[in-house]
Amino acid sequence: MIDIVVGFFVLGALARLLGSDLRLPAGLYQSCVMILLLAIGLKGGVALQSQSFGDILPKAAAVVAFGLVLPFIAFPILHWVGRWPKADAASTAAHYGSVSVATYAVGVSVLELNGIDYEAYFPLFVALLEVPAILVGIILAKPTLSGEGAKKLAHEVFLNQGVLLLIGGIALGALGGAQTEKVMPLFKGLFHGILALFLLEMGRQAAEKLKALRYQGAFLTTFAVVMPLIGGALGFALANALGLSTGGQFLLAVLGSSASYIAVPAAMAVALPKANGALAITASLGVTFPFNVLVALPLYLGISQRLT
Amino acid sequence: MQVIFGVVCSLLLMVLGVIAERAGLGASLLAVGAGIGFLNLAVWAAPKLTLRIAAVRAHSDARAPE
Repeated sequence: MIDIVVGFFVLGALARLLGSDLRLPAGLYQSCVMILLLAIGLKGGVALQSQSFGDILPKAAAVVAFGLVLPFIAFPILHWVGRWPKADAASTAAHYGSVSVATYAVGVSVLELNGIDYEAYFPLFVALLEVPAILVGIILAKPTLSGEGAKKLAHEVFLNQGVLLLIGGIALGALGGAQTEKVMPLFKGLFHGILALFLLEMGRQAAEKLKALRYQGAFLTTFAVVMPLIGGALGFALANALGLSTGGQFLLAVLGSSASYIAVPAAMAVALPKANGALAITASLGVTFPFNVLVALPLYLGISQRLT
Repeated sequence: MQVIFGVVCSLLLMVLGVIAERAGLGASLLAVGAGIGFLNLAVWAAPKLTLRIAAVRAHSDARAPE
């Protein structure tokens, strides 16, 4: 039986493939993104109140190291096997080292619908994993940035909507105490419904990107399927080493498997303007996101349940 | 190089897919592996087939009576 929120993704994709003009209004889509980011952040922040900082710090450091390693795996595949120019390979590698909050939200939804608990500090990991890959991507491509360019890049890296709302949500959830409950009917009660609406639009966007695949060839598709599985396997290995729960193992595999298509493209457009951004977006949104939602997540859930 | 990578990856995916299927995790990975393999082989074969068809066409055109 297909997961109900995933069903909305399939509906959006089918609508686009059949030629329907179904489209979520831009403002509503943007609102869904903001509510999802804040919901994830607030929930993590509330849970952080009962966590000790000393317990989280080593795990957070390991997760940052994980984010640094992934682009170094993706880059040689793209540059040496795919013979992509350095800038294109570095930009796409950065996308695959970073994370997709939407994929994470689907992962959380899958766990909640199956009644599986996970470590409360995961939203912090999501925020932490957004940035390191961007820095590695820039190092790999070695661009020459002017002072103004570096300033603009730092702004995109640290103040992009994803990082800002996640960190802001975590801080508000952690500091808000009992008052947080006042806003939770929107952020907790409506989470699955808003995620379903968001996925309806994502399905449409993913199906639209499939057209571009015709011109990008089989290599891009192969990479966009294989790289998530490498990231997912490493996520499982790290989660096991950190002694995470069933839900935690699943979510770290999901984070390793996902590829950014919101935060990183904006940063890469500033850092590597010569890189072909369409390649990375087509791979991450057109192939990796649907692959993760439809194939990898059910697989990871089964593996994590058997591992623990 | 890209096609070799694609075919090797597809074989690996199919092996993993068979293991996953036997472990009761569904056959979706197996299907994806087969799809990737088919796609890579199609990309490899398409230019060769196009050239072959063009050569046959040129040959039959040359033999056709004026």
